Amino acid sequence: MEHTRTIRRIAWALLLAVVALTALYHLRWLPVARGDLDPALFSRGIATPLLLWLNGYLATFFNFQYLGVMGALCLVPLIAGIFIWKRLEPWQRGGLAFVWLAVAVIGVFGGFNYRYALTLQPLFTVAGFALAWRIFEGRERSGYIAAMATVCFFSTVLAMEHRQRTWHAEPTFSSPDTKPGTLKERLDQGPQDLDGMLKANGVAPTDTVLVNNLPIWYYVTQRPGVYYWCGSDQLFLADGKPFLFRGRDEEGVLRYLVDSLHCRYIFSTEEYNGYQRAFQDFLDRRTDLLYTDAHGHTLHRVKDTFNR
Amino acid sequence: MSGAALFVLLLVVTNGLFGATVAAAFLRFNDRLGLPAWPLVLAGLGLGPFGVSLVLYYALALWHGIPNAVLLALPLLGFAGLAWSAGKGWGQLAVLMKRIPPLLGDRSMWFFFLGSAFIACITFVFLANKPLIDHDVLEYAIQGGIFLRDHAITYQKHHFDATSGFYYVGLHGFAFPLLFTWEGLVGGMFELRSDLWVRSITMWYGWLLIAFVWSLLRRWDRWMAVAGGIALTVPIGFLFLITVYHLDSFRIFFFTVAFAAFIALLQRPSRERLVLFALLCGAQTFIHSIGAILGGLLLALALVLLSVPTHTRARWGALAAGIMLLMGGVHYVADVFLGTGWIFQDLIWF
Repeated sequence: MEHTRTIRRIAWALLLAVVALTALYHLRWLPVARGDLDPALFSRGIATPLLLWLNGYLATFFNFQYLGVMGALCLVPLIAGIFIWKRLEPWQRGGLAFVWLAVAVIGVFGGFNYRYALTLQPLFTVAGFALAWRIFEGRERSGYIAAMATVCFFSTVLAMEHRQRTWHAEPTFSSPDTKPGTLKERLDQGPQDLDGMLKANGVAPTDTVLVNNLPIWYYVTQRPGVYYWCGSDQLFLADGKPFLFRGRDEEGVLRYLVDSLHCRYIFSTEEYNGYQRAFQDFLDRRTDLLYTDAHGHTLHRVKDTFNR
Repeated sequence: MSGAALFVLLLVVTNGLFGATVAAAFLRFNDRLGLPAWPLVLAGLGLGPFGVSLVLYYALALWHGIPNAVLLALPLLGFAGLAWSAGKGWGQLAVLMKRIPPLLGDRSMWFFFLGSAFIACITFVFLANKPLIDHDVLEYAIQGGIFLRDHAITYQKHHFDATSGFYYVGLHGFAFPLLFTWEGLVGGMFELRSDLWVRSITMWYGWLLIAFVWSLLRRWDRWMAVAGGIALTVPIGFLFLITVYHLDSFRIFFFTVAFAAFIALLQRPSRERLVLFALLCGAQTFIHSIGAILGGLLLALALVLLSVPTHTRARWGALAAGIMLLMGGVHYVADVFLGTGWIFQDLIWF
């Protein structure tokens, strides 16, 4: 009886600890402005060593920004399970061992992407509530279960409030829930009438365009493109993924683009352009900006090459 | 025919009829499976669209240049055969369906019905206002279109399309891109180009996932299902899961049902439960690489922890591995030896 009472006290303490943790996370640890932080790491929420652990390697438990608190609530029982391994039934051992292995795999694969950490959330939800059902009885059980749902809701309120603060503090923050305009304008951030825009800017249907990580090019047009991602500086060609800037100066890049890839146009976005300094400098110095749309899509043309 | 009519047709046939067929087939064997009916039905419903992808995969991989009419007929014939073999499972499914209207008298279920109506509204709003614009889903869409254009799935070191210059960077099973192939194939019959139905797949599997978790928690207590439903769905990540067009709800639904089947197998080992586990585990394998890795771990753990004699363990291991390969795991074997090398190449993180 005393043992059961202790477990219930621990469960309540755990719930309070998670409330404190999610509050600290949203109000203190998660930055609202990029400042000097790496833009890619900032956008993924892993720009500081602490956040790299919370939102990266241990995101399954602690990425409160996107996942809520069920993972954190399950962490202590999962650790306790290791210590009482011999007393567990085979299905409990299987579940426990798998969750720890899955956390390790997702930590390695998903250190940068909350979507992977989301994988275990339905499982944690069922396990967390089933465990609460087993630990508590009577009215205390109802109270604890209601409190769990309330804490989940509270954590989401904090996450929404953090998004609002980020929106006000960070000019580059972009999300449909904070953008102005009609619902359609906010949800459809793709280029409008891409073919019309290209035609208006003198791009012939046979002109090859360097496409910086914008697969919509291939979805809505029938025009040839050379696929490229400035973030990793890699071209995606028939025989591999060579670098564009690495090992070349700007003149060399220009010659390679025009003479080897037969590309005189570059389709990208203002946001993506900032992912690599050399690419941004090349655009600034070696190309003319032909077009920018309201959503930041850009079309550049390589300078002074049409007489070669 | 309009894009909306095509959407309704695909929703009714692929999600509804094909899904119900698998559900009825599962129920037929439930006297031997001994599993709660609703979670089993939901798993079956999920296998409708997935089954289409699987049939298209084998057809396009094994018969390059397959005519459109044959490609269209194969899933229809496959599900028709399964529907015929489901036998008494249809009666059991009908009994379950009749139990739904009385649930309106249960106030705890109002949350579920209201939530479902809310998801239906969200689906309508998003389908009407948000086209395919996000990076990853466009990659899958383009590759699905290339499968249909070429009438072939081939394995090569680089998934490069010489016609457009597109390079498919995905490393995962083709279950999701093949849903675009399916909509393109059916739409092509009516000279329509639409992606409405595939976009709705995100919400469909999101709803199935909620319903599955709900059905499990309701076994303990109906109000705990309400609390669990809230805990699952309120985080921002879950909102994105059901509104941002992607394969994640598809992937996580099958991961969750596969894990539930894994627990059921360990609780009461039987050949039928092993087959069910392998079917569901194989499905999540064919959707995403992380599913392939986690599926391999699930299978390995099941074999280690199953309380059966050693020779049974070996036989069951071979059976489960074979089913998982047939359900799409073979993609990764082919990709490692004939294609990109899968995760054994130099990965680029986007």
